[in-house]
Amino acid sequence: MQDSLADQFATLIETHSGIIYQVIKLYADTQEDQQDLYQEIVLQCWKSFARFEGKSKFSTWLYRVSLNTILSYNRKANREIPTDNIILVSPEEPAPSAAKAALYQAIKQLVEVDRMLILLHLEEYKNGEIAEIMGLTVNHVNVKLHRIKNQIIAQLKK
Amino acid sequence: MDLQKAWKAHQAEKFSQPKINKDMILQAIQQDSSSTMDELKTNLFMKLMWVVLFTVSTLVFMLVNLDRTELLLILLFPLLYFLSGLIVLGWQYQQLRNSMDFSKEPLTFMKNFDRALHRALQFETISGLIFYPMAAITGFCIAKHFKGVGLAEIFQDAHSLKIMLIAVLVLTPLAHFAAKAMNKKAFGSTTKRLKENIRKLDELN
Repeated sequence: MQDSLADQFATLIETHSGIIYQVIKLYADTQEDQQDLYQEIVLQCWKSFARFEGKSKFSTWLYRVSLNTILSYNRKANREIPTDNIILVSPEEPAPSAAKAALYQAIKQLVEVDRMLILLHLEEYKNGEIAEIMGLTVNHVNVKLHRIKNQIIAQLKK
Repeated sequence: MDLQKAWKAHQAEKFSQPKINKDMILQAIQQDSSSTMDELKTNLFMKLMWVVLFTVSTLVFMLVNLDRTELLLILLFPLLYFLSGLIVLGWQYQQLRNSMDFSKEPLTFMKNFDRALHRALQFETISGLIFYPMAAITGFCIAKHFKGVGLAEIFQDAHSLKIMLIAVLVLTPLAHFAAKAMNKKAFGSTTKRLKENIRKLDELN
């Protein structure tokens, strides 16, 4: 029973691994931190998986658990990271252009909740879905996104 | 400026396909958590186990010394303290377990977490302020008792009172500030981040 649940869970996570990948790249800088954060998100998702009733989309639920994990995340300097399974090494990745790296850096300077808001927006989630994930009203999401976008644009113009 | 367009271009440029597969996921769910909440839960559980140990030890010590009325009287205070600590810590542990729902709305999640963290740290501060003087006085009285000095004698002797007072006055603030500093080191940055994120979301609601 537990095995089949774990299998079902692993399939879902594998299908949606792009979301976790996006999140960890945006919230952790070093490869070790990214690996650690990835493990933590998957672990917390697994712990909460029994509560997932399928009322919302799995991606919506995954973003929410990821954000809550980030909010309570505390990387331990002495935590062991299995090096045989580093998933995030992509030596073939080219360095981004200066303009695009600046956009990324501007987003990374935002506080955690704002970073998630803009990430969801950039990933083309509708404001209603963002509101559901973040537990805000659609109006609040509109206002907040407007402010964050202005903040990023101002940062990029510097 | 179209941020979405810039983002898409950035993603295509920066990221190749992630290499997360099923085996890695199954391996990740076997790991220990490093979340502050889990750390707090483990800390609380350890404290709970220590209090159980102290309660049982005190009870056993009382049982093997049933003929020593004065010693029983001295030990009654720590016993009551440990028993009440057991109840409060057990309740806190349960509360923390209930609040650890990572699929809740972020604001509710953060507020629950902040409350649990604050409650645990506050309990530690208050219980410490009771424990340190009590431990100093009880320890002194037990030592004197085994040297054949009665309770009444201890509390009538100015020298003994002076020693107890000095022990309490030195030990209590020292232990209190040491515990506070350790908690600040362990949870200070989390509390600060949490408060900032709560404020950010709260100002919208």
